[in-house]
Amino acid sequence: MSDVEDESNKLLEVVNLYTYFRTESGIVKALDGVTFDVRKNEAVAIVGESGCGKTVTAQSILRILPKNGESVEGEINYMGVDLLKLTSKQMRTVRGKEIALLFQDPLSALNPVFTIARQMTDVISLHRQVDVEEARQIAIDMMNRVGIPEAETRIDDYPHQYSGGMRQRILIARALSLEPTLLLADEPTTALDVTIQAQVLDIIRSMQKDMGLSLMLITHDLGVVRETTDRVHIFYGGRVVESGPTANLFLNPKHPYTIALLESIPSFKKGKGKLATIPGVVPQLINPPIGCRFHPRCVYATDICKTRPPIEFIGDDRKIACFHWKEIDEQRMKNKGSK
Amino acid sequence: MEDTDSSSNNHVIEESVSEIEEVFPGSPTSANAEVVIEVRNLRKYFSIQSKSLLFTKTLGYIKAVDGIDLQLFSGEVLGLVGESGCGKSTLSKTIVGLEKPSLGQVWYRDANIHQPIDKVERLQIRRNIQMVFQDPYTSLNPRRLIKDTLEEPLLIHHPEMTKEDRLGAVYKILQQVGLESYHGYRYPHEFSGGQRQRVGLARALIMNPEVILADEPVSALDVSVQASILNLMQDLQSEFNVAIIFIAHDLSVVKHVSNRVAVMYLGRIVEIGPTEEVFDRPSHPYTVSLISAIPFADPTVKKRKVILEGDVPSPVNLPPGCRFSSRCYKVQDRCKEEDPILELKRGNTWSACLFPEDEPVLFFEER
Repeated sequence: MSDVEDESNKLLEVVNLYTYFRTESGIVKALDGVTFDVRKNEAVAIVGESGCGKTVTAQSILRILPKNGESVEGEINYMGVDLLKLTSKQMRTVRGKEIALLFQDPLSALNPVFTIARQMTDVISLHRQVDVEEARQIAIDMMNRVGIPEAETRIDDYPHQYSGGMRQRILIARALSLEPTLLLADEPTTALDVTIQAQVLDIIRSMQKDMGLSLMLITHDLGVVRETTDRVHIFYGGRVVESGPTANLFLNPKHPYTIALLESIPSFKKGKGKLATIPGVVPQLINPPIGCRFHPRCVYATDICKTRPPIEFIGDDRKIACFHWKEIDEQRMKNKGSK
Repeated sequence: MEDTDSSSNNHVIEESVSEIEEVFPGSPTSANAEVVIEVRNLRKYFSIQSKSLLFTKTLGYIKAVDGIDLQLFSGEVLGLVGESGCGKSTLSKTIVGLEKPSLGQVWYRDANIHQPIDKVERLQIRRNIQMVFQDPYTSLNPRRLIKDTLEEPLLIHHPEMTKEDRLGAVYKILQQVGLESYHGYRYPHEFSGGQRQRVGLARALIMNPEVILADEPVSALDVSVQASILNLMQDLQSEFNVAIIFIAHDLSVVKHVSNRVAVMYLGRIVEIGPTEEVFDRPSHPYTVSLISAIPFADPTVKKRKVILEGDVPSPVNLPPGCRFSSRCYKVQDRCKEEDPILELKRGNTWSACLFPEDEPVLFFEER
């Protein structure tokens, strides 16, 4: 892993990003100094529970935050350009063409009164120099590639004539018809059944490899992360707490939050015994805990945890934000050895 | 299209009664278990109608539940899994009595749930079968204090209780679900999702029921909260010795909580058996593909990869023969003609397939 810190390998780099929302009850610090990167041709996951800032991260990158939200500090470097410094006109050439977004609910992302053909060709002819016939042909080709049967005729159907899984395929086809370099997928399979989810993930994965694009998958489902992505960033309370290669990180989690999270999912291997739980609740970001955001729920917390933990590189391409990770790791290794 | 008017109903019922004697898929997981709920040849069809000014025309039927025989034993947890539209929720609503069956019956011990003989029996059925909903927020009255919501069933079912007794029972149940008595003086919006689901459990348990139907009780919760609710449900289940029908789409959750599991596809049970047996060596190809589709977070789990083609067919126009034949990866010509019935395949596992599987899907590597 010598090329790991190679700058030229980075496609997107988010540095120390702060995104705040003004609300009636105060300022919500949705992102509080988030730093992570997405490399070329890789699939990265952003994982965390509700309210940890996953979706706000995607909205900040594309600058589609709700009116009361603003990225107040930090950089979002995409291929060497800081997206936060672009004019809104320049930004419009980035959205869709460079960075495409896939939504959770495919029905509300499609307009019910226009045919699929209209909704796909509109996007294609806006961003690419093609005429109507060519645009239609690109759309049909793309629909074939994502496995929609009889694309030539079905392209003239309306969204309600498709099933949930097929609608998500259409959104994938539409997003990829512009040949973006980065695909942001925000919970793309959460609304789907498991067997359909397996189909859609399979398509996303193979399209990502075929087209050589980078994928940033936002999800709460650790299983989906494990099976779809190469690297993972674990979010908690508006910050990144742990990053690393997916398989390595899931096998040897080091941050107390990641450890607890992985232990709390029921597994096929574990018996019927008690599941591990995390005491307390997800922090309120209007008035978050000082220092490490996880310390009120953490069993290893000490006084030093009331200051913000720095992000440390710990080898194997892994990063962690915890004061105590070494002791915790040693203790876990000992326990494993004694078993 | 099958007719559901009364004259033809009787005919089908007679036919099925003779079958019932021998076919009841699945056997109890413990020796002294009694049957508490018995579902006999249950069918629930919803008609699709076109309405003009004067005439209403029935165009067809959605066969949500299409011939289910099932027994629930005392003190067991039966997991019910299947994709959306397979009829799990319709089945559970019919079992609690929220929907009337088009055909067939549901029995709670000696009482027909949909035709109680008198008011006493009706109250007894209602008391003993309780429901826990997916979204505890929309199932709690936002304008009532939690204590009032919890107290109401006591007013109906135990009119002899004094006010103090009732409050005592409310405080006790709140503590049993891991809340405090002061939580009774709050409104639903003041709780977090996990706490609201605890209230939902308290409301179901305050009647000390014999059966609970839990329809996706943890799917709206974050994983760390989900774990604590699952732990609580396991504790309460053994404490109250209540039988639970646990409906979920997450197979890992079902595997964790249930003793037996029933897999549904398009209104029928396609496989039923002890949880370990079904998950270790699934017999129906649909169960195989469901297990194979679960994404696992654990890198040491390896699996046989089966990705199904296409979508679940519409329950209006079912494929001929086996309902799964249109998506099955090992479909043969026979499958398109014969409709397989549930048969004992291996151990205590019953499945409805002409060419059952006999290989494990998951493999666990040692670390």
